[in-house]
Formats: sequence, C-alpha cells, structure tokens
Amino acid sequence: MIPVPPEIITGFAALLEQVEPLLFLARDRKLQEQAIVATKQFLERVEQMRLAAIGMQNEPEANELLGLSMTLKALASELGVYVLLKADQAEDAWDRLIDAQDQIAAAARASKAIPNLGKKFDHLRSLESALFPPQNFLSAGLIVRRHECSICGTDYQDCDHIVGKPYMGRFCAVILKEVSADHIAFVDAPADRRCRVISFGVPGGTRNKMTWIVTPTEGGGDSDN
Amino acid sequence: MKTTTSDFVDVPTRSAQLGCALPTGLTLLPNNFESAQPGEEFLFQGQTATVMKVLKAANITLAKFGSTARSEAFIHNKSHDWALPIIFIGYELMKQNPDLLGFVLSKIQDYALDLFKETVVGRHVKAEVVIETRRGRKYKKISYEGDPSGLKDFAKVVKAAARQ
Repeated sequence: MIPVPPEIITGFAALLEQVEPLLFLARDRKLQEQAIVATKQFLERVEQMRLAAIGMQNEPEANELLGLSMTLKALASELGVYVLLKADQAEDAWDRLIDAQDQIAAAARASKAIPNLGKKFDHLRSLESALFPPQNFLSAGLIVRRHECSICGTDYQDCDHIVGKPYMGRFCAVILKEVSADHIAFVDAPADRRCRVISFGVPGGTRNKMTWIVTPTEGGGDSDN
Repeated sequence: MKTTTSDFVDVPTRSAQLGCALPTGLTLLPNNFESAQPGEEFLFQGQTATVMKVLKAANITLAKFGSTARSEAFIHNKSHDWALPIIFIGYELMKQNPDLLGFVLSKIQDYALDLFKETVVGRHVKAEVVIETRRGRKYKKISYEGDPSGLKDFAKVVKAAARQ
C-alpha cells in the first residue's frame, strides 16, 4: 500500500498525462513553460503535505512524499532543458539536465512506490549525448576537517545517520566544514557532471566548448585558458 | 570490473615510523599512510565515517589507523561517484576468518546499491584493500574500479592475491 493520500496519487497521474507528451525537444516551448508552472504548483502541494507528515512524525508518508517531490522537480528540470535550449542557453540547459538526473536518483532513494525511475534516469543520461556535444569533466579534491550531519547537526562521525538515506522526509547529507582546496583533475566519471571545461583558448580569443562561439580577447591577443 | 595489484609498504615498519600502534583487526588506513611526514595529519577518504557506520550497523567494528595519535582530515575527491577508504586486513585475521572481507564488502556493496538504487548502471566506485600476503612477508594493495555490484566479487580477487 502506498503511504500517500489518494488525491495526491490521482493528481500526480493527471499531471503526468499533461506533462509526459511534452518531454521532447520538438514540442512547443509555450506549452512546456505552462507545464513547468503546473508541475511547480503541484510540487507546492506535495511539499506542504510532506511538511505535515513530518509534523505528524509519519516517516513512511514523509519519505514517500519526499520521493514524489524529487520526481516532480526532475520533471520540471527536464522541461527546463528543452526550454533553455530553445532560448539559446545551452550552458544552463546542461546544468538543468544534471539537476534532473540528481533529482531522479534522489527520488529512487526516498520512494518505494514510484515506478520506472531507473528507466527515467537512463533516458536522462542518454540526453547528454543526444542534445549536447561531448564534455571534458573536472574533479575537485577538497580537504575537509569537519563534517556536520544535516539531520541532527552534530559531527557526522558521532551520529548514527548515514549519508543518502531519508529520515522523516529529509535526506541525510554531510555539510563540509573547514574546507580547503587540494587539487583539480580531469576525470571520466565525475561525481558532479556540472564540473566541466567551459572554454578554451584559440587564436584571438576563447571558444565556448558548448556553443562553439569564439569570444575575442580584449586587446586582440591569444587567450591563455 | 578493473582490478590492479601493487606492492605496498611494510605495514609494521611504517606504523612504527609514524609512531602509531600496528593495526590488528580490520583497519582503515589513511590515504597518506605511505607518504605522511612526522607530525603531518592523516588524510582519510571522505567516505570513512559512512563506511564505519554501515559496518557498525552490521556489528562489524572498523578501527581507524592512528586515530588517537594525530589530527586527521578527510579527502573528498569528486572523481568517482563513490570511493571507499583503504581497508587493511592482516594475515592472521584473514586466516582465522576467511569470509570476513567478503562479508564486509558485501555490506558496503549493499549500501552502495541502496544509495544508487535503480540509477546504479554507469556508476563508478573505487575500493582499495591492503593485505598481508603471508605472515610478516609481503604487503600488497589491490585496487578495484567499477560498478558497485562488483564489490562482493572483489573479495575473491583479494583472497587470491593473499594466497600468493
């Protein structure tokens, strides 16, 4: 039995019927923008119910609503990818796609009931090569001296909460404190696919790796980056 | 699944140089175990506390090398979806409890699969185990890179390396 109020299940099904046909680049941009608004309105309702479930200490319902919330965010993010590409904002569109992937992965961690999240994640991954040129990813190496648990606020080493797991409608995350940078490296499979090469130097300027546009260097010299 | 085996520094000798007790049970080593200078803080993999908690929930206690001897910090490399701390297992422990490492890695695998759930395909994890191949003889580091679902089988690779 899904521990979520029936009207939410019905509302989600109705929203999907409206939104899913629009999850293609070729669909009308205005319709996609309207779908984003509708999704965010439903998301607001779900968020209010999640907070109410937290208040009632109903963990199964709170976690399931957390999963639904992340799914709705992913839908809005995916629609945002298509809208941004049409607005010639490819850099933002890429970030929105990675947001959608992260949101679906989070939904899978929180929800036991929402189906086909794996298929959706695979589809979102495939959009990287379908819609964008190949990327060069970077990884940051950070030295951290203290970790704070996002659930209880104590030192993460001292509590029993585990990163990534949902607790009463909220994910456990580690908040990094006392951080210093150690290195940057090129990698094939980064933890954060937003970290990538943005541009590179060409004679007379810099070329944006996503759009291929060359921005002239001030003074007309070659760029060093 | 990609595994590599390389020589590792003599653990007892290095422990003495670092002024720390020799690890006896299952121990997590700092990434700079081989290179740390006198007084330098130990750098552990960022997932160290998580791995310790996952195994604590399975009634397995892991020690952190030198945790009372020096200050420590944690490395968060965003180069993989998930990277484990270095696990050290001595020869005697391997001999007395040959299934222990397999159990440990299977619990870690369960957590990783639960973390990624249906989005696990294409995820990239890194694991390293340091073993004593024969009592007081040689130390080897066996590294794993690949899918989280390969971690349990990685234990077999480590056992085979320990028999050499």
